[in-house]
Amino acid sequence: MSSTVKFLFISVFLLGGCTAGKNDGSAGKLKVGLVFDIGGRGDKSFNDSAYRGLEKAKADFDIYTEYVEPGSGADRESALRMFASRGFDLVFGIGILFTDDITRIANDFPDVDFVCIDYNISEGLNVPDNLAAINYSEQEGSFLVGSIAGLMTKTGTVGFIGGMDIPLIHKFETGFVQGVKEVNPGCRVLVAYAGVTGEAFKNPAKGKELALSQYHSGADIIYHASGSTGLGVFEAAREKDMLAIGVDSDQYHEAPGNILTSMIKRVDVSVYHIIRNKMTGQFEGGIKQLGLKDNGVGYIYDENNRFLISPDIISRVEELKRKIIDGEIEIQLEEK
Amino acid sequence: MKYLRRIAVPVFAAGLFLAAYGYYWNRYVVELDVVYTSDGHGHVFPSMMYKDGKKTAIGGMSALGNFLGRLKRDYLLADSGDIFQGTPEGILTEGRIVVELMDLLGYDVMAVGNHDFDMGRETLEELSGLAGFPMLGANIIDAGTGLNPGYIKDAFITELNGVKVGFTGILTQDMKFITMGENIEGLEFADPLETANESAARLRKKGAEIIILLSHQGAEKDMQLAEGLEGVDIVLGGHTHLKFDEPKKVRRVLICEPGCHFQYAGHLKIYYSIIERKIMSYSNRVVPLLASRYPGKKEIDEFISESFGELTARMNEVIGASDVLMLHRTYGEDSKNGELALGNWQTDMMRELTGCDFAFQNSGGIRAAIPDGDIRVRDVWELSPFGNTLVKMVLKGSQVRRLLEQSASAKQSRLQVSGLKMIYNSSLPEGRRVLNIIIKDEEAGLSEIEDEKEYTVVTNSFLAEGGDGYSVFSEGTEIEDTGLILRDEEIKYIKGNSPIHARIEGRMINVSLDEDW
Amino acid sequence: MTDFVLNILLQTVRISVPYILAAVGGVFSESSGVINIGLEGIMLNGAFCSVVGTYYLGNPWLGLIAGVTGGIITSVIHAVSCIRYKVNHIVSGVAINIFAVGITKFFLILVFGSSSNSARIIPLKLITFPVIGGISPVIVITVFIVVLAHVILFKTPFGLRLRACGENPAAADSLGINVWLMRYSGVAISGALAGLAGAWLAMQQSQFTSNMSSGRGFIALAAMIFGKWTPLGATGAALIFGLAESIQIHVQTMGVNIPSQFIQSIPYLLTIIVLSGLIGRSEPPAAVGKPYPEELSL
Repeated sequence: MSSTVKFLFISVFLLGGCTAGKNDGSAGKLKVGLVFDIGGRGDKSFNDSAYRGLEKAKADFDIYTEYVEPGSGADRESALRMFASRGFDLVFGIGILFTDDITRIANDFPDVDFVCIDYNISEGLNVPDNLAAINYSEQEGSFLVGSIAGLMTKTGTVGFIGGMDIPLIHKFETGFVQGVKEVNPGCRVLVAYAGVTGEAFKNPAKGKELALSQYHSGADIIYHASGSTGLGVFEAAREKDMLAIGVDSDQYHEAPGNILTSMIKRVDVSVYHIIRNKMTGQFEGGIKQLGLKDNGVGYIYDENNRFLISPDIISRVEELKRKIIDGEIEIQLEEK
Repeated sequence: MKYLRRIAVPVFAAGLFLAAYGYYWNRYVVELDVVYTSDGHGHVFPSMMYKDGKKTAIGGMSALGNFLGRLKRDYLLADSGDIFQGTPEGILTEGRIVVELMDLLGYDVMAVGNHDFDMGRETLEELSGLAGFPMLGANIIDAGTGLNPGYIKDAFITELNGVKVGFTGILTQDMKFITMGENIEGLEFADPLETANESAARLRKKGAEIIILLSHQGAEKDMQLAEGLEGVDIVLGGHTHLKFDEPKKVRRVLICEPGCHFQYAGHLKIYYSIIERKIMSYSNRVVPLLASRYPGKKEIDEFISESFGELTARMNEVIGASDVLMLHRTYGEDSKNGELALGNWQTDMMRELTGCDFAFQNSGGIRAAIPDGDIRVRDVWELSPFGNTLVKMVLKGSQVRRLLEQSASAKQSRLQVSGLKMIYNSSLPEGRRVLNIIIKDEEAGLSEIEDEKEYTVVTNSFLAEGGDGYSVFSEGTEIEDTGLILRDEEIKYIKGNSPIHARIEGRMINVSLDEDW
Repeated sequence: MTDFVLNILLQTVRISVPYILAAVGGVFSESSGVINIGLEGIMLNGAFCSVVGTYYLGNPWLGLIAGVTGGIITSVIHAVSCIRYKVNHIVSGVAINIFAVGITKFFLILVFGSSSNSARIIPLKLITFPVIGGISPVIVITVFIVVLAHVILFKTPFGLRLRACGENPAAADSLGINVWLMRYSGVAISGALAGLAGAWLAMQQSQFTSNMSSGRGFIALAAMIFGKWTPLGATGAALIFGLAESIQIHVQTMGVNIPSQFIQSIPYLLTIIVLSGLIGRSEPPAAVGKPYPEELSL
């Protein structure tokens, strides 16, 4: 985009902001803007979780909120810029894809605080002080669901299905595999990825076929970290009446009775806490690694799945959780 | 020259203003010192504070005497209730030692707390007669007369540095849930807000210029109360044992909380303008009475050893040991689950003594830590000060489930358990939080509790009456008071089983993920 | 072992069905002279319509018909823009694909309140065969369609006319064939088949998920090219692609240490090889992508 066009864009947003700013009830309130990932609200996962956090913060505190659901890649940056230039105090970008844009924009608007959920930490990328880069220790939550699977398998074989074959998803895999081996060293873990492109996260048909062949090879519990590809995994679980483990948010209702538990990332809690900290002047920039200790990740055990998992297993898993928090168990992240 | 004038005039004016202001402040603003405490619970002697594995001696009435002795000016000394119940000294002297010491320390006024009824109304009446200061409780009403009982006053006016200060006091309306029924028979507890506002109005009429409310109903409720208070300037709170280093301000009302066990002395300085007749400003500090900084005051120590020497010696007798420090509050990760090693020890013992299937004890009834190493009689008295007895009954599985469900939703006093294990999720809606209740049987192994089956249960007499709101206990059948006093049994048990050994072992597991929402 | 082979074969068929249907559809469209890279979008719309149809009508067979109808409607949009308005076929096809992603998500949120997936629908009843067990009736339909497509395209006057319009529309016109009508029919048939392919995808999952076609339309195009623009050839190619994918799945499942990326790229590699003429030349219909009558295309 040429700088003229950029300028025009920004001016238009600025003008829009000025006219809208007068009567939007935001006077004197903390202004929070949130830009969703592709998928937007209603994705039953990440974005919905972020939205829940925002709504709860809005209910609990006296803040003014706005959100944008961008369609394609280019909108992300302009949406972030729009919020920043309209004088918002806190701007969220939900999803790994925001990493580069939000880092750049945080540098351009040093007076605005930014938050990126699922920030892609890479060496040499400096996180500015006004950017909270949230990263979740998915391996820890995956370890726990792995230990549940390891304790529950009757066939001695469990499966993992990843979406796109990338380091972010390997974190889920390695955590899961180590969790299984911790409680059941002889257990076999079948591993498969749906693909090598972004499509691999939205290919339920492929997910179903992968799951069918894992079930056919003896797996009785499959953990997926593959976006909506995982819906195919659940379909296979339902068809074969086997068990599957959900990811990101509680996916029990996608296949009631066949979803053993879900490894969840508490995006809602993170969003809420950051807004609360901002309210009390305790916003902190920099990289935030959220694991079991911070309740950033965890597994679901509630009234739905209590008939599926025996309480003994929960006791055992809680012990492991304690050990991870205390540092007695360290989860190795493979170097790839 | 022009420049000089231009600068000199404003500087001169400013100087004049400051001088005038300073004069005004010195001449017409008086400083009023108010020292406040609450929830002493009989802690005549210093108590131990455990933090990060370190033990610190803090507080006690003698240390408070030392602190007061260092104040160079006149002050008012007030307490917000629960003065004696909690230590052997307090209980065995039926509060006498505490009241006598309070007189010695020069207390001006106190509010009556819920635990001040623990030894019956007669005891409180005696104490009130003994005390050289009034006991306040404006909303404590004799159902027969509709007035405050004779031994309790609704308000009190005193004067400090020429300013009339009025005090009134209120007590929590939860009394019927948190106190043994027989102790408050014939008493009613009126609405705190209405009563406080009425008292404040009366005090104003009598010329009080500053009105202080001594409130024994907990910090949270104090803050709600302050939203509607009329005429009250300051709330000195208690009951929840909280400590506010900086007072909270709700509307124009200042709310102060001084901690408990005479561990801290709240020191509030009020700057009052006698011209404008209003509070100009205040400053507050809550001073930790560390034994290292505030050793005992000689006269007080002497008084204690003269009048109560034999008693204290008896209390210091060592009866056994524990191989681990057992705290009476949960910390860190354990807070989520709510399980206490002390609770496990107590309930296991209760079950062993009675042969029941399950034992329950309220966390709120576990009042002090048991140190690692030597255990003295005093430690057990402080752990179980109430003299509750053990009560057996029969409950159905479904009733046990309801009990635990209530415990899973309780903020303050969750149940400690023996004979079963429960998994719950405190982020689920209330009433649906308990996921599993598992019984461990030597022969049959693990099994879920059966709703229709009857189980024998032992608990303490406070809970058996439905205390802490656990009304399910009053539905029990075949209720039998064993007459065994928990405290005495504990002393016996420690003597016979030293060193005692208890751990947190995962009897209560909370799988919730969002405690902090 | 037989179990294992049977398993791979059944999986190959399941994976191949949408490729076959869309590829055969593509053959019809391109034979008539209209490039259809909008198969991907048509498939997606078909999938969505079949789910909505089943959801509201309560019968998966009616849903299947709804899917086919949705496919036809989408393809007719493509046909109108390519034939009537002479828009560049590639541009129109790309537009169809983008349009489909947007509109399905829009209605997904509107109807089911989620941007991720729909409610569950009643699945089709399986037909049970000896040895191989229960399979979806759509597989049987697919077999019929392939045979029928071959017959229609090569053994009927309609097929001949259709192909004539793709090879030399001017000549066909001069023989009194309505080129526009033929081309509309070709594209509509491709829409119907791609819509059915989408319906199959959705029925397999008992729900619609956002963007669920995930590139299958393009693989179908590759299969069509690989199969030299004939129904049987395209079917064969689609089966090869399906087999490659099934093998790749099994290789991963068995933990054989071959990079999955390599196996996954086999179908595309094959297509490139075919296109470059290494394994026999693959020639498209001569007039494909060219509007008719040409003089109006300015």
